[in-house]
Amino acid sequence: MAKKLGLLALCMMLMFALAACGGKPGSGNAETGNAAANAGGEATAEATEELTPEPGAQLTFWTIKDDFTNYAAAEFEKKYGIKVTVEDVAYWDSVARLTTDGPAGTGADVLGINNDGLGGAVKAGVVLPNDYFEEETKSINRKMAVDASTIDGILYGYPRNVYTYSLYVNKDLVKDTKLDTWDDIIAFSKKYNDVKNNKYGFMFEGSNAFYDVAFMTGYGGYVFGSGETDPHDIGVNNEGSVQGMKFFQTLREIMPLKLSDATRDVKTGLWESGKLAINMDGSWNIGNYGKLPFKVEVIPLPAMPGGKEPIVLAGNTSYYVSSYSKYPNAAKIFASFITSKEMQIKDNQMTGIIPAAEGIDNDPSIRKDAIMQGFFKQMKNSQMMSNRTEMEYFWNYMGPAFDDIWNGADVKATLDKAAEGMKSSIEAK
Amino acid sequence: MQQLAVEREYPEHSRKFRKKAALLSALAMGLGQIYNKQYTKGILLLAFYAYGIFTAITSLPHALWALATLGETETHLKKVGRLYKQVMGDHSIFLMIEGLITVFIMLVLIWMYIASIKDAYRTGKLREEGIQPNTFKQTLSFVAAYRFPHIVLAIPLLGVVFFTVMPIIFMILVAFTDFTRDTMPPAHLINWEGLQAFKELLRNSSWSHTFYSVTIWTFVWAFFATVTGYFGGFAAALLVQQKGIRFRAFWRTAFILPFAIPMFVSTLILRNIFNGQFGPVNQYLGMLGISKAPWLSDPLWAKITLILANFWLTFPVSMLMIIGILSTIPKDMYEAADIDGASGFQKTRLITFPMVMFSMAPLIIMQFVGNINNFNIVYLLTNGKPLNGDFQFAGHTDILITWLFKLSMEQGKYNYASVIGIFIFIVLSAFAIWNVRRTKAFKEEEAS
Repeated sequence: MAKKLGLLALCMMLMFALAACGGKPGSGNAETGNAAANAGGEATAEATEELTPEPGAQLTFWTIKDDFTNYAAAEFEKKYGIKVTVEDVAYWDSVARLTTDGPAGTGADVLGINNDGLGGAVKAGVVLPNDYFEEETKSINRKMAVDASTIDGILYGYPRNVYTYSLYVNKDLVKDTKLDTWDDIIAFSKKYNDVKNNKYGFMFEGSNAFYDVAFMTGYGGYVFGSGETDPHDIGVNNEGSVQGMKFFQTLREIMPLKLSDATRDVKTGLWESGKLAINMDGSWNIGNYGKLPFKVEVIPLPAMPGGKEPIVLAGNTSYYVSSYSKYPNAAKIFASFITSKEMQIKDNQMTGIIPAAEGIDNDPSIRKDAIMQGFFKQMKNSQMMSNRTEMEYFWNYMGPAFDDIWNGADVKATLDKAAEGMKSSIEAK
Repeated sequence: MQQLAVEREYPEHSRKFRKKAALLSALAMGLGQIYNKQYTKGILLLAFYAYGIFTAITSLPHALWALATLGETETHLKKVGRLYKQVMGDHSIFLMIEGLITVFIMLVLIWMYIASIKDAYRTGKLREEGIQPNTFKQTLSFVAAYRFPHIVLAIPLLGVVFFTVMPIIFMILVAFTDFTRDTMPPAHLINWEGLQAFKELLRNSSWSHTFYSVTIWTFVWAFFATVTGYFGGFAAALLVQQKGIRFRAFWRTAFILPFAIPMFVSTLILRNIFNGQFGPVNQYLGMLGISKAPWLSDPLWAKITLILANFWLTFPVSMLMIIGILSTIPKDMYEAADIDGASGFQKTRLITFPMVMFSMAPLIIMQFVGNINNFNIVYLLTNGKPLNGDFQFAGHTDILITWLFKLSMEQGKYNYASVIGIFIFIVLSAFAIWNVRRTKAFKEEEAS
């Protein structure tokens, strides 16, 4: 009796089960249907070379929401009648989210990605190449931004902006002191430093390897060869890097801290309260640091003692069209629209980004303040960080190496060990 | 003997009910029930049978193919005229999940099938004994009256199967694949790799070095985190509960404060407090003329800081629980001890401590297990730092769970992360089972 009733209970339970996931086993078919729809799209694309937005298209747009993105979305809707929903997704989270949300049908059509995330996105096949607007994109943007949005010769992105780091200078503290070389900075800091009262002449976030690269490149060091594209040519332990890192070690004289103690929180706190004179920081802070109660200027990183000027790492943010997009044509038109020259200028005015577009540094409508102009100068001495996935090994092995070197480890041996680690990890892939 | 007598009462020819019913049910689930004149139930079961056959024919081959191969066609870009088109291929991860679900449903259907044969056999036997089988209405009312809890429980049970068991099986399966960021679907297909990831992690020198070091630190950390939190709470409880202490409620409230603030807030604050140069702790030490301690920048110090911070955040809970237990210890035991001339220390060692330990032991084990997986404090306070160049994607203070997080979320090495996940799962379930058994032993001890 009990058994029989148990069976009935089981039936009930199964009915729930089947009602709940009845659709699942068949969803494989739905996917093939999707592929067929794609094939249909191909045929139409072949027939007409004109890129027309799909009827009834509406777009989801992942970016870091700001005044500009809202403005651009509204402008686009005015012009094309296509509704764009702006969602706040950070550039460094978007790829991971798209790999899960894309197949589920809730992902973005257009999304922003920083160039260091592009390698992973392309490997996962979640972004479509920039095909239709390729020529236009290449003609209006800086070559470095275009290269940063390109992988293995295929252009994927629609560049929005570039970013890098440079020296923010508190003019009220530095006054007219000459800051033409690193020796000048060291001399100034020695005079200005007051460790007991937490006053510092110069500070940078050394626990983040992104900033440390600047000191590697002054004498000819690099991460990957051929302009950061060849992961089999590792330059972190070449002669130039060793010399540069020896100089890096001497900076401890003016920044007598452990790298892990010079956190971003601490540095920003000191800087904003006027206790830090020269702050090495990123261009994404242009907006914030432009509003401080003291006079701020930006100067490019000065020349190394007896050497060339250091090349700082730069990054790029571009927009990409999701390969899961139901309206790829509309998405491509939007991505191209929001990254046009006029829009980049507008973006610069509204949010203070460094436009990826070429030859507009002197455009009358571009922001003219000393901070902006400093960054334009620094951009000339910058190198895009690699957008290949091998870059993860750089962060992994060089982070501890920079830390050890700062703490006084033998430069050559430490760099050799890190380079060896990077090499073996890259070979093992 | 009784049974023999019963059997003899019925004529021979009626005895074939059960065999026939079982046979019919074996032929098609539900037929036996219909033969037993339980029509509604029979038709219901028959419908399930039809669904099962349908699934088996339409989905099962695909599911088995999916699980065996994880897909065969790669997604690729195709250039048509000026435009690229993504030609969708197989998505290995979805194939794996769909295959798993289909296999799960099939297993449930097979179980039902066997149960229905048994049911037909039993009902047939009842009929032979001259008992009228239940009508559907009777069955329903019986179920509603006596089996209601089972039905209600069936829903969470389903949840457990699909939201707990399935993901665990999925995770275990991932450990046997080459699923990393470099083989990320849909652009790539995932392949079965057997024990490759296990071998790499346990035998390959650079990975295994990280694995063993992190494992050892995880256990050391869990041990000290538990012991300090527990004995700190014990000491605080003894002090607060001591005779002649005034403002007891005030002390209790004051001590519970660290626990009342959300842990991640206090952890993030502690991170700044322990800053080696700018943190208040070192500033005060400097004022006292004591040299600054590298709280978070030296590997050993960072580990100690972690344990200290954890102690500060967890001792209030132990204190509260122990205060509760202390009040249950009979006063006459202490009075008797006083008469025998026991010192305060002896009373604590011989009465208080064993009594508290008796109730607290299972909780301490659970705290230990919790600390093995204490992601929050490690991630927020040190984030695994200081960095360690000898480790693969782990720092000096990373425990298994934070390393797993870094491997999967930051490095995209999903298969390695799964291996670690399996390892953690085994360790935790071993402790959980052991703890359940212990608790049972306690109960029996109390009963006897």
